[in-house]
Amino acid sequence: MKIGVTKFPGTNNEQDVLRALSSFGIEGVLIYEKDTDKLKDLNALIIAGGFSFGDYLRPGIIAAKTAIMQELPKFVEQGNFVIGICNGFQILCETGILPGVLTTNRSTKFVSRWVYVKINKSNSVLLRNSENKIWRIPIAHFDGNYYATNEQIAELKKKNQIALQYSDEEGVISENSNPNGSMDNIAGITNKEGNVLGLMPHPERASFSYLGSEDGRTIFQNLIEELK
Amino acid sequence: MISNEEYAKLIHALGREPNFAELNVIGAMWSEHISYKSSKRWFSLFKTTAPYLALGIGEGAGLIDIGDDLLLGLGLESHNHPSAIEPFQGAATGVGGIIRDIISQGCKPIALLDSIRFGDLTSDHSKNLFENVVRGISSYGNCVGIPTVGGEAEFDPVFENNCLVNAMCVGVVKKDKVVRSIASTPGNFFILYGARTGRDGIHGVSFASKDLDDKSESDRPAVQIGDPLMEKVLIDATLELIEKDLLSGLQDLGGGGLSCAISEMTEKGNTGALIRLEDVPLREFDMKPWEILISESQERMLAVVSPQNIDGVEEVLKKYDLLAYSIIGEVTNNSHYIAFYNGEKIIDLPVDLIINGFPEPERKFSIPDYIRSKKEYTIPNQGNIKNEILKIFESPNVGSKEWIYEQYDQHVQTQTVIQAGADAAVLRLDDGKYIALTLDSNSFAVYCSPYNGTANVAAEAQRNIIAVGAKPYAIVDCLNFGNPEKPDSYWQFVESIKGLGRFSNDFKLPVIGGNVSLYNETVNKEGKRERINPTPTIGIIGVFDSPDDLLANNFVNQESKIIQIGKTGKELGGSEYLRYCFNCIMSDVPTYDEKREKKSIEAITQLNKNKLIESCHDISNGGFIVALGEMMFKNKIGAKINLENIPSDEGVETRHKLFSETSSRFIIEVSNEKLEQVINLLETIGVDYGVVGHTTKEPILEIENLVSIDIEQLHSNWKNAIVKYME
Repeated sequence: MKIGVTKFPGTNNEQDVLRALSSFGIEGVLIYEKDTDKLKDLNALIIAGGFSFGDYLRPGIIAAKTAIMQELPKFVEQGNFVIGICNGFQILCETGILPGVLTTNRSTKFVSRWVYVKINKSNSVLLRNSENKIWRIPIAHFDGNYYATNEQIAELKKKNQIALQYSDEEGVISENSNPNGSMDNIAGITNKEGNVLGLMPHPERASFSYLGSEDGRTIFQNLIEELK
Repeated sequence: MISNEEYAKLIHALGREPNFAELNVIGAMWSEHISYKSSKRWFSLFKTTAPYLALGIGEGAGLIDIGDDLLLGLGLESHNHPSAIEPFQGAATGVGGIIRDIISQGCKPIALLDSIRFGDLTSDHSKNLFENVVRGISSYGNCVGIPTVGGEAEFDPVFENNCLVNAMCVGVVKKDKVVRSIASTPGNFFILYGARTGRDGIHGVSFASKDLDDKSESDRPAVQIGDPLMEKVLIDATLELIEKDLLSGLQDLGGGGLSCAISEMTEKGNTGALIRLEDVPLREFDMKPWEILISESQERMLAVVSPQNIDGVEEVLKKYDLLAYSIIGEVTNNSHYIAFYNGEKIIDLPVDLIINGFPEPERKFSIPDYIRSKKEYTIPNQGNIKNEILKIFESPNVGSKEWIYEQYDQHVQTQTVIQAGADAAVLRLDDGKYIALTLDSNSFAVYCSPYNGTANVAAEAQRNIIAVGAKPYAIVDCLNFGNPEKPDSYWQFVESIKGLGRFSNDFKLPVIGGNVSLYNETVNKEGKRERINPTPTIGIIGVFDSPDDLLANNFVNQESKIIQIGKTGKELGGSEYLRYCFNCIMSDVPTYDEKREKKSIEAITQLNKNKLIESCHDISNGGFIVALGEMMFKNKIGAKINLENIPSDEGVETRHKLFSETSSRFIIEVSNEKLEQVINLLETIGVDYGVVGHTTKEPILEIENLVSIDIEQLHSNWKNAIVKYME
């Protein structure tokens, strides 16, 4: 099993994702922007979070134009798993692989906070057995305010693509539990086929008991089991 | 700007007139900011040794050995003047600078802490500075992927026109990977890499070495511009160069630019340098040679590389697309710093003269009038105590700092066990070791008595480390003071150093690094002199014997006993209570008491080792009542208190018990079953203590025969203390 983890100039979460994977005994492979030839050997790609290209111009846009990301649609079509975390989610939206955009937080400030998210029934096997669970997980972003057209939102709902929503501790989804202004409290979505998952919260930061939560491990665990 | 005396000394030493470029180099290097000419003479008062010390004061970061071949690097720096003029870039580049100081010793940066001070939040000017400084720190620190896990903030009109921004960085390095900022082998090359050199930050250190005034706005070009993406790539590339053992020496380019980095590295190595300025990659092609020498453009590093490693270094730099690197010269054995520009000699100065040649200026000190004429303030004992309690929780100096630290990424690198908001931040390192970090000050206590105030600030930082269960290891300090040429300002500085010196010796805690920022004085529009409160910010790092020692800072159980450790004094001077409720701070200030401090620390440490404490919090800003409130908020656990049982010095009244900021005190939570054991141990140690009450299920703070307040009301005041001004 080979899981790639992207490292663009400026990416700063790749080591954290590698650490989470290695706690399952999996050594992830760092994938740089020019490594298009390495894609064919991978079973899954995790687009790690953290300021690719400094978020200059706008988050994710420069990474979306790199050689490796130009090859990504093909990799996805082949049915491989792709997970985009935080900046990775922004990149996936910028490439058009996932619908919608992530705009500046309603507060116009960076927000770093522990939040709760409710896991919906979705088409992603990466969230298998987690339906209706409430996770405690950190967010850290300036641009996490999910926006899509009404048609796109309707389509996402129809196909069970709204995978995670910001909620309170009891799973109640309301404006009070929305940290950034996202439409419908959307924290993460999947593509139609369910093999691509993009989310703003950081599962790798909720993967060890000493960090205060292990809820995020589910995603990595499901991925690894799926690839076995 | 160098003085007449300095100019005369320079001519005498050189045996000729210096040229314009040389004058600029000397002007930067003999500035207060770089030469420490008013402060260095006092550093001998600090404790600077410890069995585990690996590198003390003098380079970018101090290093301590925490076992298992692991060293921690610590640095703390100010960026006050730039932030007062251009808050976003000033703060951002302050963060960038201290990070590069840490990587200069080979360390991977793992945490940032920030200490910031502004005028009152009712002032639009201060709000603007505050908002943009926080944004600057957030924008830079988050982007480079280093968690900001702690710090402190203070607001008072004395900082209206001269805000303070101090940034601390902590790094970690394997023992055999340590790099020194030294050029010791002639024949080795200097490689400059990172960003190109531009005109930003020219005369930055000179700007930082004079008072701010109404013309300071014209110094805006002296403020550097930050590029966090470049910094992140620079960090990644540098760590790879270090991992591959390719460097013989490394220093970042900060204040004084190339002038400083090359002269400091060659002075340490007893060598010289031959530099070709035309080989420096420029951002602006028409820069003059002297500008290249003193530019403070950010995100640049200077490596010393042996001839056989040049190819290896180039390979790594190319991998990271750091293509603007250049071999700008070599290490020589003639102990002169010589720079050419297209064959023309631009400077030729003895290295020793640049670093050590300044005439030590005479500095006079005398007790300021406000200390001499000090009177004890009598508190009116008839006010409404409930209102006073509610009011103090509303003070931005006491209230929640969440508005600040929510803007900082606190969790990147997945090591953050306790984030900002507790007594100290706690990180878990890769090998399973836990460390604790804190950065503290209290400018009001220091103003009232620089000696006692400073020692007590250090003692508070130490208690913060103890209160999370760690053992203190080392100190870094940043001394923010007024104009050293004014005897009353200089007196504050000298007294403060004496206080820190005393503390560091009393507790055998080495001062391993830091920074001095003087000339924090302004002249206001009416031409009146305004000086900041003297502010020594003190960072302490602690290490856990075992992760099991980790202590909570908030109540965890209902129906536990609440104990105050340490005695309350009749000391409201410098307290937030006097300042915020009565707009006055001068009165009897808490004295520094080594013995009491030691007893209290011993008590907490022993109780914790024996697993006898449920939670623990140190008493500091706002006094007992604020510490108690902070323990109740997280789990909404109430408390019933009998003030009769607060251990007190003679003459102590209700308001002292509630609001005094006497040092050496903690509040601990103890379960009923363990109470007897706890008391036995406290008696054996011989520490002052009192069982002052118990926790309750009802979310109410009740002080018997005095007052009863809903936690929700208290919490709401505390939580909105800063937010209400900012949103």
